[in-house]
Amino acid sequence: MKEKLMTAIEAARFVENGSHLGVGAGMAMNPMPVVREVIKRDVRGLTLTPVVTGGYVADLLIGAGCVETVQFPQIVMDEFGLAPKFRKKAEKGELKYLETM
Amino acid sequence: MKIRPDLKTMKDPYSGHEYVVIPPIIPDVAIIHATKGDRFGGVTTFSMRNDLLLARAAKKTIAVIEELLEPDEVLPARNEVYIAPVHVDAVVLAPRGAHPTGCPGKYDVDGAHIKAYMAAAKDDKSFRQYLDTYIYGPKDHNDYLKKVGLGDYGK
Repeated sequence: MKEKLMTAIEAARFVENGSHLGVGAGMAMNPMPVVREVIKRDVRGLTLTPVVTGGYVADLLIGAGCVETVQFPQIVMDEFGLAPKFRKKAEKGELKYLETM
Repeated sequence: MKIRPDLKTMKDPYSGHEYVVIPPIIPDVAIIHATKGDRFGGVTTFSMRNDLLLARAAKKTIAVIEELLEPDEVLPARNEVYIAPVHVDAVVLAPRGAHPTGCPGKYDVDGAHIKAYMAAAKDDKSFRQYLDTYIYGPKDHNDYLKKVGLGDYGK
């Protein structure tokens, strides 16, 4: 079988400008080491699908300017409040959002 | 249909009813966090989450794992599911990798950090500072953990 161990920097190269990115989200189990490298690569124009709900990782990617379109049932920071960057960009019309059930 | 005018409808040829048809979600890349995994891509994650479905749907899947084990040791616990190597293309070992969010059974969400994030998100300058400190600054995950006060690989 193929060895698949790699660094977060190597794995982040899978994500390119305009990719459709699915990410394990909510306020638990966000895969942050790779997501941080994606942001560092200055990736733009992502379609983001946070699974199941958005949370820290979705708000961070949106706030860092990586996301063009987001499809979601809900993006909140649970007991910490509404997702600030998502809300701001959506209200300003800087984000395309596709609401799903 | 009011909030999703892009969705289309079609007629069910059997009942004649008109239904909304939603295209499948097929991400180019999925990134998930797993409780444990092996070097060939077998990983376990929580059955309550939809990460198994996400890994299966995406063209490529990257799994960040809390713990690296031998393949025969990667067994799902009672509340976990196994994601087979065929669905995983990259494995990245990163204990405490979900920080500042939680990893049930191992560590909780870092409330103080999330509160600091919420405060930083209030204006562009402080948000930029947040990104510089926690995203652009640390050279790798270990460096990040030192930055948030968790030391070498969270030990």
